[in-house]
Amino acid sequence: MGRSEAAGPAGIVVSMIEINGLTRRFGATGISDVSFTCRPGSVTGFLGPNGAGKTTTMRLLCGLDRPDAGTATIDGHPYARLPQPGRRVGVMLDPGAMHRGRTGRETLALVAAVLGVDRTRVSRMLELTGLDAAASAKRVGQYSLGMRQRLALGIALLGDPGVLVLDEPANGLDPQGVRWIRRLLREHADRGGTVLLSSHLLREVEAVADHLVIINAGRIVADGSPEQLRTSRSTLVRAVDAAALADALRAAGRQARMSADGALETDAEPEQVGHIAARAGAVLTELRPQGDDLEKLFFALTAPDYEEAA
Amino acid sequence: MTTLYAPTPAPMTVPPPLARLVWIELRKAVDTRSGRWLLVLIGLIAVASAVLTGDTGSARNHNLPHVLGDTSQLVAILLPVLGILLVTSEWSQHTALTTFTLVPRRLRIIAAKATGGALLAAAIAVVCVAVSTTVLVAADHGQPGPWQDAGLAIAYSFVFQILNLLLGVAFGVLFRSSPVAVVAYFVIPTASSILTGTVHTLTPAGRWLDPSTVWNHLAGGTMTATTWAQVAATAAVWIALPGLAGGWHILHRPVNA
Repeated sequence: MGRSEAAGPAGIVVSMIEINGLTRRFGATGISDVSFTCRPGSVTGFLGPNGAGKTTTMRLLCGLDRPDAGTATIDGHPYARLPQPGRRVGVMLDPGAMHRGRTGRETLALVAAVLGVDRTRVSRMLELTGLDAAASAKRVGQYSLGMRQRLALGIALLGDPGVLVLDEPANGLDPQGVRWIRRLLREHADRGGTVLLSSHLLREVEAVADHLVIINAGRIVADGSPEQLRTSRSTLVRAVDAAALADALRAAGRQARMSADGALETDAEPEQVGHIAARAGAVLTELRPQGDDLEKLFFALTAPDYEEAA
Repeated sequence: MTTLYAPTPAPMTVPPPLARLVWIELRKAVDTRSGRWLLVLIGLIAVASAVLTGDTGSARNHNLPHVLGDTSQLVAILLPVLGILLVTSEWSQHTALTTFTLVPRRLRIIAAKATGGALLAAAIAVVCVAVSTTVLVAADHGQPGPWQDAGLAIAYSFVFQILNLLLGVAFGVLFRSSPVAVVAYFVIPTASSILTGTVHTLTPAGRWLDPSTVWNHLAGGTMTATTWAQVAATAAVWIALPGLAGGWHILHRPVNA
């Protein structure tokens, strides 16, 4: 699959992505007050279910849409103000955004012309993304989704950017391809690069991300390292009258979320839950701390709220 | 896999020069099969038309202004389509997202497409002049004066082709959809010709605003101050207006491909 050649001889530029209070409404949906930072040397996994607002956030970051409020900057500059953005930020938003009648090599050659990079870079990107001579001479219309994904990554990497912004990059890749892209992103960050990659699958990013940002229904619901998120414990509690206990918890200023099987999840410590339950006269049937499982946390954070579901 | 890294100065941070973007747009016009075929078809029409008017028909017509005028008019039917596709392929082929991500100054892309389109139109005008001249020389009718007023006719043919292509670019910018823009190009100016031709109260307006009536003065090779003013008026209505309206949309609305 070729060795890692994402960095040119001069090395990459260390850059930071800062997203601050970003808001964009589309009727009832959209994103509200989205804020997070992606630092050099880190891979940020941007997680959330489909439709949570990941693509909207990334499109706003790349100047393809304008926010109603808030800012998104690369080293303090809006993306659209960068004179030659492809040399600073490698973007992959939609692998379908290529002309089906052009060959893979020609597609890269056109981007190389815009970026003003050496033509040999086109061949290096084809080699790096595992598109051989036969594949690169084929028209994109004949490509599989996986091949298009590889070519789109080649476009993102062509300008040797310090920042990578990738929307669902593992879509359509086979298991080897997924491992290859993980290694590529990890090496990019280890060389000082900044990576923002989105996914709706925790497992896809867990293996490579050292920073997780979870978005649900247009709002950021968690932001931290996997270790921090694992220790941000919650408490699971069951009661004979779970709805009454949920009300008591909320009345005490705590969050309470009811899952489908009737269990309540709350941010209160088990002892606090006991006190609140005793005052409310609730009969508990189970009470235990939880939160050491990222996947559970992810599902809890992105599940539809009890009250919204009711 | 640990690599020491040191922050390095930013790489080249100048925007791509407009000339390079124009060159890229020209390359995009010829690097697909459909693009190449459209240009080949335009070339074949030019040759066929030049042969038909320059080597057959009435001897009165065997002069360069006439042969070139006929050839230009026939070729000009397809030039707006070429102009439309230069723009709309970005949307029909979903490449607008990539294009505007790489060049966020969207006006530069539109300017590059219009400039590239004008250069293509000029190249096509050169082809029309070349085939018309070749046919007249090869036929050698022995007529006197086949080259009379040739210089002016050639100059007008360039303006004529460039206007036709830019009309297509403006329609493409306005509609951003190949089928809609092509249908609009064939329907709207035709409807306007029929309307101004049949409704007598509208005929004076047609003399100023109908592109097929007005621009044919250019292909006919006779221009006056009035006809130049009419050409400018039609260009404003059929090129500047849709171009500005569509351009505003492209600059201010989200990129959707």
